[in-house]
Amino acid sequence: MNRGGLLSKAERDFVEGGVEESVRSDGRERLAPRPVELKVGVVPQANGSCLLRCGGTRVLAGTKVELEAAEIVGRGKLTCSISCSMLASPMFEGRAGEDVSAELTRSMNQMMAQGMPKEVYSRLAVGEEGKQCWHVHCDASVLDYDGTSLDCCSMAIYAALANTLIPQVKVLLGTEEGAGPEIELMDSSDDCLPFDVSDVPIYTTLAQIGQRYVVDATHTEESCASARVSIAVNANGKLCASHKSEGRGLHPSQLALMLQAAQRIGLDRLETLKALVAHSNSHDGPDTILERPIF
Amino acid sequence: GQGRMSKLEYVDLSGLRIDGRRAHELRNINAKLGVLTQPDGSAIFEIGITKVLCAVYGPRECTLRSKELHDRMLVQVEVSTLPFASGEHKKRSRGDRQIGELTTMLKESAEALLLTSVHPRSQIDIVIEVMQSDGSLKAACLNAITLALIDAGLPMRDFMVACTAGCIDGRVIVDTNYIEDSARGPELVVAYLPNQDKVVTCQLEPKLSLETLGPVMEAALQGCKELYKMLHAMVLEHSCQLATNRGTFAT
Repeated sequence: MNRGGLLSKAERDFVEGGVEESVRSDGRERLAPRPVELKVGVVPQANGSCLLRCGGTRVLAGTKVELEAAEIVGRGKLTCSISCSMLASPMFEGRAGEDVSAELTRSMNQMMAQGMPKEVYSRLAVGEEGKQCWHVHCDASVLDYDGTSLDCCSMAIYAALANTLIPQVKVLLGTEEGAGPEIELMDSSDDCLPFDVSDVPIYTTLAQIGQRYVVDATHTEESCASARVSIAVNANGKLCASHKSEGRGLHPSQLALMLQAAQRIGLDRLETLKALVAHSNSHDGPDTILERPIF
Repeated sequence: GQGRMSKLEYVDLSGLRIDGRRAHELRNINAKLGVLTQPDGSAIFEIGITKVLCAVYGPRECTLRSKELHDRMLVQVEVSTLPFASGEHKKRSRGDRQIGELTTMLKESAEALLLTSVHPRSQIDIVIEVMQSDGSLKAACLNAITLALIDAGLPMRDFMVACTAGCIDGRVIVDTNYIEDSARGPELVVAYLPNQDKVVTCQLEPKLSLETLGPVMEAALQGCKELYKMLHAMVLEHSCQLATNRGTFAT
């Protein structure tokens, strides 16, 4: 069992020593993320879903689209919510779990609201007048925790969105004066449009351990980290959001290096994700992610 | 607006239900034990599309000393549903009354199932996450709890199994799906201990005539017994796999 939170000084020194030599406890280099495994379409009732594993961290994400009156005419909505409960780790019991969930949700919503161009939202509007729109609800749940939950949640939501099909609608003009337009939902699955994820960013988190920084930290490594920076990058290499958490301050030059590294790693990961989603869409294999882990 | 929907035929003339099952047929079952790394015990129970994940922590020291019981273990249950688990998008809410009632029922069933006097002054936490919901949710949660407790190795009286039975259009049906649940006919959830031949939990809503109660209860218990055979075989296979991995016996 991985109760990585409680570490002795010797263990801490061991982790820091490994990071210094670029040989981490699982053999990775400092800037090597863990391999990602995913399966899309696992929840039949959701419009899109994804089960993702990154090392020991496993996340289930799903999307649901609903038609509603547009708050801003011509713009749809996309809201995220992340839940991290005691299921994932005993440290997320009660209030602690709620606080972590709230922080993850805030980071994701900030990234989606500020990091994506207006076209993404205007594509979600329905009809010419744009008075009705699609509201895409993205929800993720951390099932198992071994560090870097924000990255995994953002990747899982990206994949779930890539798997999402938005039904086509026909707007019929109201027959009476004053009656609003009627919306007819096209029922057949051929009339669904996939959600365009080319502008959706994902987070990459770097943790400062000793004098160096690592990507995709495990729970043990996070406990040794003095600072953490999460940077959201999209497929065009643009920085969409950033979030610094935990204790110590970072020197600006160090921060600049970390931003560059995050950009590079983020772009690589997006490429990998695209390939994995395409593969998962075409192959319908058995679910290996929620199988008993073999130690 | 559109025309009125014709009345739904839950059991047609040839005895088939909406999803093609016979009246006393259960949906496909799948059980997986030990799926999570952090909890002491975990399991996923699937029946049809309904899928419930359960994790168990314990026995461990009580987090709140004031709640500690001197002669038995404290059982705490927490239930949450994924927002995309059912047909509509439902935001997570902590104070939902339905979830509260479900939590109480699960806690009482778990307390009846476990040998609580074996671990006094300690606590076990049962965390349930409903991944997919398509009818018979209460029964699925109860089954997931049994499997997770088995995976955690906690001392229990028996192998609790649960099943739902209902009565629609005068026909008794077992293991209702979402559409049948919404039919507003009576729904009986029964949790049963097969080796001791005892009923642990029995919840009925909304109401049922006394003459119909007998056959519906009988159908639910029959469903439980069938379920027990299947789940018992799955757990046995899982245990043999574990024993083989340890090298305890060769296959």
